[in-house]
Amino acid sequence: MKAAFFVLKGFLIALVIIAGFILQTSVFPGIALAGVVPNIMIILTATFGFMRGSKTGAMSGLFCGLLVDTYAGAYFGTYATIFMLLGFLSGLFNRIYYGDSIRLPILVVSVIDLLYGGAVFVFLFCIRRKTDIVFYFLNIMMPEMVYTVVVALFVYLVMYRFNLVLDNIDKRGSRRVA
Amino acid sequence: MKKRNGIHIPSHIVLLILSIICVSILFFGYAVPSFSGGPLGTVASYVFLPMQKGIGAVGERLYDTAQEGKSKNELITENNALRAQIEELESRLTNIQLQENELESLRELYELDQSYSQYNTTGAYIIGRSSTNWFSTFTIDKGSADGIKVDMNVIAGSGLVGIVTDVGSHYAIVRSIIDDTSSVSGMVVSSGDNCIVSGDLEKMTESNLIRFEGLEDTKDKVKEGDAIVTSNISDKYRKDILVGYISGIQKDANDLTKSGTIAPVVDFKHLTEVLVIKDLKATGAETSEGDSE
Repeated sequence: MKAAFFVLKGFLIALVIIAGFILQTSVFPGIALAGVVPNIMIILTATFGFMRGSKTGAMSGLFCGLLVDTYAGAYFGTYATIFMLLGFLSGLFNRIYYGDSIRLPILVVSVIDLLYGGAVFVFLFCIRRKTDIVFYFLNIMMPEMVYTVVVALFVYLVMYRFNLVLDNIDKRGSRRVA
Repeated sequence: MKKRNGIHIPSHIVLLILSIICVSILFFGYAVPSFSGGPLGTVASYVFLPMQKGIGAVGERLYDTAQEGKSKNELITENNALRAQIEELESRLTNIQLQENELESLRELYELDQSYSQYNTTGAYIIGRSSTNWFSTFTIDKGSADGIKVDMNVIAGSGLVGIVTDVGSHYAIVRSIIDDTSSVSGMVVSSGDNCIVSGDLEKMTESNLIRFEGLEDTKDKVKEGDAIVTSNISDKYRKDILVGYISGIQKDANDLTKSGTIAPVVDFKHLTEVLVIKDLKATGAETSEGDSE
């Protein structure tokens, strides 16, 4: 029975991530500001991380990364690795997450997005001798972070509700088994 | 909650397992070049594409409404600028018409007909863009089922857009020439000198330009405004596809070669449909898997 609830949760999370991915690749490029698109995959990875803990964070991060990889055309697995580690990292904030304030989500999303930018810069740009970090920081990473945080404000409200649904499933699962 | 019932796996073990999975995916993807998403690619073909096609239209409409909101002043200044541009273009057009007449007669002479129309092309719509701000790839709505193969060249009306890097059954991923990892062997039309044209994120965000380098121009014949086309020695790109016009040129530190910037002819920001050239470049070495382009 517990396994069934586990699968149900996984399925719901995957559904949300797929919806986010479709938005990311088809709608968001249309609302790009200054050539920068908000990164909803990072928002999802980070929110699942601090809402549900490191394990869920890492696994949803892996899934997000794999989706990004299918459309990125770089070495397959690069984004999967980056997103997985970021999801795990975000999960470490689960301990101080109580769902009552918007400060923590905003802080975590911005930190995770900056780290993501840094990781892409190191693994996909530095190794090709493109090392002008100041430029990339000011023109890509910072704008992306700001825009992502703005979008995260709205996404978080939806995700907060979604997390309550997941909590409900958890409760029902443990009640039946006990 | 979990601890009370059933198995509990510590999170660092999960991290370890997932890391191993990630690293093995990386190695597998590196070792098997044809591996592209595997089962995920198939899922993408049937699940994402229909939805993206629909939602993409919504995104475009959003963009259009945003454009409608331009203020009157903006429109007036833009109008003035455009008028000036029209004059400039008209003068250029007459020049080009003269050159075209010359070109046509030359073509007849040499029995060359190297316009793009000779290529066997197929149209495709762009249905998704890269989800990162770092790279410039996009997805088109045709794949291996429509005869698209890796390394096919993609053009849009006026010039080169990019190259197919990955194919699913009903979608294909195109890396545009403005992508930071892209490099194309190019040729200056006026002098016939070869150079390497590469995308550059820095130049792109600053001024919508791409770079070229390694141009050997000992006679100083190449100047700003010269057209650059794909070169005949490129092993992936078909020859004589227009890439763009030189917008800046300078001598390299080695005093032998020149480098500079190119303004691409394709408007990558507002690209919605592209043409895929279905003829692959025949290089003789069909089995070679060199990284050079």
